[in-house]
Amino acid sequence: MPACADFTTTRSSSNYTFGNINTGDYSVVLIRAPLIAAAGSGYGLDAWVAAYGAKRDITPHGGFRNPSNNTLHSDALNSRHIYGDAADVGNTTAGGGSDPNDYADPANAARYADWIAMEAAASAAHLDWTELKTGPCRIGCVHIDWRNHSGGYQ
Amino acid sequence: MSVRIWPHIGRRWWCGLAISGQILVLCSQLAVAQSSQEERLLTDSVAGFGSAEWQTRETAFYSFLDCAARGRFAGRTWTVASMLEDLFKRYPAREETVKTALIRLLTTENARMKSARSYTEEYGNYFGDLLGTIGALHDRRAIDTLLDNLGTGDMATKALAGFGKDSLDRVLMRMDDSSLLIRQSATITLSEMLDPSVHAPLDSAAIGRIKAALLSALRDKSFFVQIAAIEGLTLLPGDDVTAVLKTVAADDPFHRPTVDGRGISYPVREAAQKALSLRSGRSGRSLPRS
Repeated sequence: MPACADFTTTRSSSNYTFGNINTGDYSVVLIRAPLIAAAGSGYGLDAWVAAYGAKRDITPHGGFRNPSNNTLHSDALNSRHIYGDAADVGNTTAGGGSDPNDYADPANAARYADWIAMEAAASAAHLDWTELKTGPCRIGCVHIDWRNHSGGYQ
Repeated sequence: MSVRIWPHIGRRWWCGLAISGQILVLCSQLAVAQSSQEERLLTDSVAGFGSAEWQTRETAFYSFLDCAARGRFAGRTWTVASMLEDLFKRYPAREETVKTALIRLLTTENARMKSARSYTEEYGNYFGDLLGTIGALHDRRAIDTLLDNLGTGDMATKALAGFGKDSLDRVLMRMDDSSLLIRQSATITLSEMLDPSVHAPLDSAAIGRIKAALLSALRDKSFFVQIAAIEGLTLLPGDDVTAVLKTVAADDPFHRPTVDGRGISYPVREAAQKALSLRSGRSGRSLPRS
């Protein structure tokens, strides 16, 4: 269980403000060190931006979620979003199909290609785990987490 | 004086000793009870891995991790390797059963993941923790199940890299995959094999094969694969490697707008320049011998 001292009201990275990362209900949150590591470390959100070549916003519920907020947006009680080392980064390339997140629809080819580039950037940023194109947000976002990197909350 | 004091101290001493003894007996009984409860939990968890329902398998898996953590696992994936080491020290007779059951569990989930048209965050999160746990086992029998997860991140690549020569052939086979994400992950794995913090130095034949594969990956059509190859080449000695990196640093044509959109960046050139700078700052002794 996290201790009081683990919570923060300010932690951020070069590219993502505290407000960008906190998508929960409160102003006191958990943000683990690997998520906001400097780009030079080779991992974390800033390394992802450097690898992808552009910043993409974290989705409305894709940053830190406090547990009660998490139950509203996820079926995963143990979601990495409650531990503060995960982010869902949104794919902003438009899809042409009736279901824009269907990777198999040729009308979504550009959106799918961008999703692959976002995933490749995540690998370049040495993420530990990503959901695949059949995951919860399919090609609408890229889930990136650094659950296996050590590092605490301060 | 001492004659009067000693009997008093003696009574207290004997009384204290008796109480301490009772506490010791109670503690050891409690420890035995706790240990047998823990062992039961371990048996039940492993039995649950074979369930036909993924939710039951997931519950069993997290019970297992709680058991390994001697409390609540609480999402501490990065500590799983030490938790397992500690668990197998406590129950050495269970180590083989637990390891084979865990590897079989990932094989089951791989098959489910491959055939699923979609899955929930709960399932994906469980899958990730399971993958991290199998990686932490460092058991050669898991190589194929880990290979199925190339493209999902460092938990798979680092685990495969940790096997060195034992996984090398199978990783090399993925270097020509049609999927960019697989080729990139295979290249990252090869680069991680050269990292002394991931794997002990390889023999010259293995290093030669990795070097050839990384030099070939420099010509991949994706700059992501090229950059992954440069990360590995950074760790390889030799004037021939330096010469190749110098050429890439000077001439690689790939470019794109900078992150702030105000200029042009050459990511492959920049990666090669960084590699050259790291190589020049590193003594020959710290580079693996080819």
